[in-house]
Amino acid sequence: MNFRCLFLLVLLVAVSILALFVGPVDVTPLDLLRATPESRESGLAMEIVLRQRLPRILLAVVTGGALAVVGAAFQGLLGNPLATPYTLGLSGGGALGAVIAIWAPGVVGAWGAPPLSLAGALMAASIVYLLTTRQRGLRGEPLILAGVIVGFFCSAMVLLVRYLASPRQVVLMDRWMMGGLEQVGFGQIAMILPYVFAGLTVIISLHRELDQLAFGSALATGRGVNVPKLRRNIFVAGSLSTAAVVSVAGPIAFIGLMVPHVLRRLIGFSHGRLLCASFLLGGAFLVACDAVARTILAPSEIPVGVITAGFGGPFFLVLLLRRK
Amino acid sequence: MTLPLVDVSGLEFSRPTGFRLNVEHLFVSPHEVVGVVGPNGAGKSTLLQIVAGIERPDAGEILIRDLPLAGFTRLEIARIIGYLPQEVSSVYPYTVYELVMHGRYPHLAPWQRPGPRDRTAVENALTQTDMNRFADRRMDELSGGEFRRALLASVLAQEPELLFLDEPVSGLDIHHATGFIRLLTELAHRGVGVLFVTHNLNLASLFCDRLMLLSEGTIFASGPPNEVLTISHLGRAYGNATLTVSHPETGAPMVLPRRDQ
Repeated sequence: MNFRCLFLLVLLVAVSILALFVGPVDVTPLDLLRATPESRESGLAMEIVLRQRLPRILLAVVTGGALAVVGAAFQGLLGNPLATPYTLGLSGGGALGAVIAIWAPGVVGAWGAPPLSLAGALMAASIVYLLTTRQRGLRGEPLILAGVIVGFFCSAMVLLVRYLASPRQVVLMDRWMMGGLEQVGFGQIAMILPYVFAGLTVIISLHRELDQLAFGSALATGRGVNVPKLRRNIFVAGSLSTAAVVSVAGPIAFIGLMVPHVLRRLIGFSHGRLLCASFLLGGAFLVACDAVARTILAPSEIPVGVITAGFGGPFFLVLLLRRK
Repeated sequence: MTLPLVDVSGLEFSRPTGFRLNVEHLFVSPHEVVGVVGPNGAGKSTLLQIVAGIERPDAGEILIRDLPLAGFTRLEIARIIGYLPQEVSSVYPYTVYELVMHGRYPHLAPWQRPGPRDRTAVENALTQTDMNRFADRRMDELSGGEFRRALLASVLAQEPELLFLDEPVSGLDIHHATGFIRLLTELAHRGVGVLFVTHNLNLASLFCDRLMLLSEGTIFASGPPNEVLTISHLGRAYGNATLTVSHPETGAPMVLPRRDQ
């Protein structure tokens, strides 16, 4: 681990601790230290920090980190620096699952949107996989094409469900689409953590193979990489992680594009460093965006997706203009 | 005579498009530079991919140091054969040092970090290709000739006994192309067996120990350049488009285009 990665780790921890004390209700570290079971006021401070802000921050770390790592991995898999975790239609599938869950609450009961959203995203990924794997493995352009097609199809179905839904449901659906971290408890983090952890572990373990793939499948094969297997593993692991975080946090845009790109400039192109640093910076970035989302219009909240995309949109434009 | 590093016999390969490749016999020994020449679509690249273990043949025997290629794992092959495909590029401009270190991949166990042994191999590869001073340069800051040498260095870092190169000098000017092929002969001098595909008949004639002329999926002439690059062979491969003269330094046949039909 070089000192830049260490710096990012310190940054992530610092931002996360800072974010515990940022929000519409003022809580200082001193309030927590003074908290005693007898005092009602300090009990409230404890409640806000531990029950509300802590799970949000943990989810922001996992979500931001996962999206950035999967973004970097998919950019490697597809040989395209503009790929994102959503390029392969996962957010469309996740959205379709979520709007169905909101439209027909009876289907999933008390669990809410996440399980159906997870199922929708994984279904979309499976369709993309089946469409692409027939033609000589999961190659870049057919994958992107299949992902875009599945994404469009899901969008059309989302529109259909919205058309059938009541105005109140439509508001809830819109809110889901914006992405956010507010309706989260430890239970949901625990639900997605196994998927995210497994997916990211597989991706990071394949960092040297991703370096080989950057030079095309012929050279990678000549170096001893089983390219079809590599592509399959990256695809499955990335889809699993993305589907899991999308199901809880909604489609939070631009982290998967922006973070790896910034890091390539800072620490270079080797995937070993890039993937680890992506997790750290992606997590820190989303924690910071969420803190801004909670406070900028306090006491009401802005969806965090608006903040990330607000940064991401202009950044994307600059990236396009500067790319020769 | 030393045992060939690679010995191919009775090779057959076909594609659904109707393309067929039949190679009776092909071998490369240590210290040898062998060129594969022939018109577009003759199957040169496919042949190289098959002997490099990238594509599987329909029939035939490929022996690597007297052992069947099919019995090796991909990683074992990569430690013996350095394969450089045609037109390698990357959208991610690694540094030259990183690129050359990628060549150590087949020697590293999963999760194993590169050690002193790997760094030595990388530095040797950089020295052999005269790329030392470019080690910290990014790939997108290199000229075409420098980039090819960096790629060759990354393949040499695999410490292969055999080098298979697909059109390594296409797109290079005469100075860089000649320098590159001369470098291959130096590597062969140290004991590596080199097999490369090229459209540059004159460089192949000047530097190769043996040539193979491939046309329509079969080798119809092989041997020393002056026996392969004859008017009748060239006529069969390229039509009536060429004539030959002798190189003033070595007497090797040089192939010139005809002006009139």
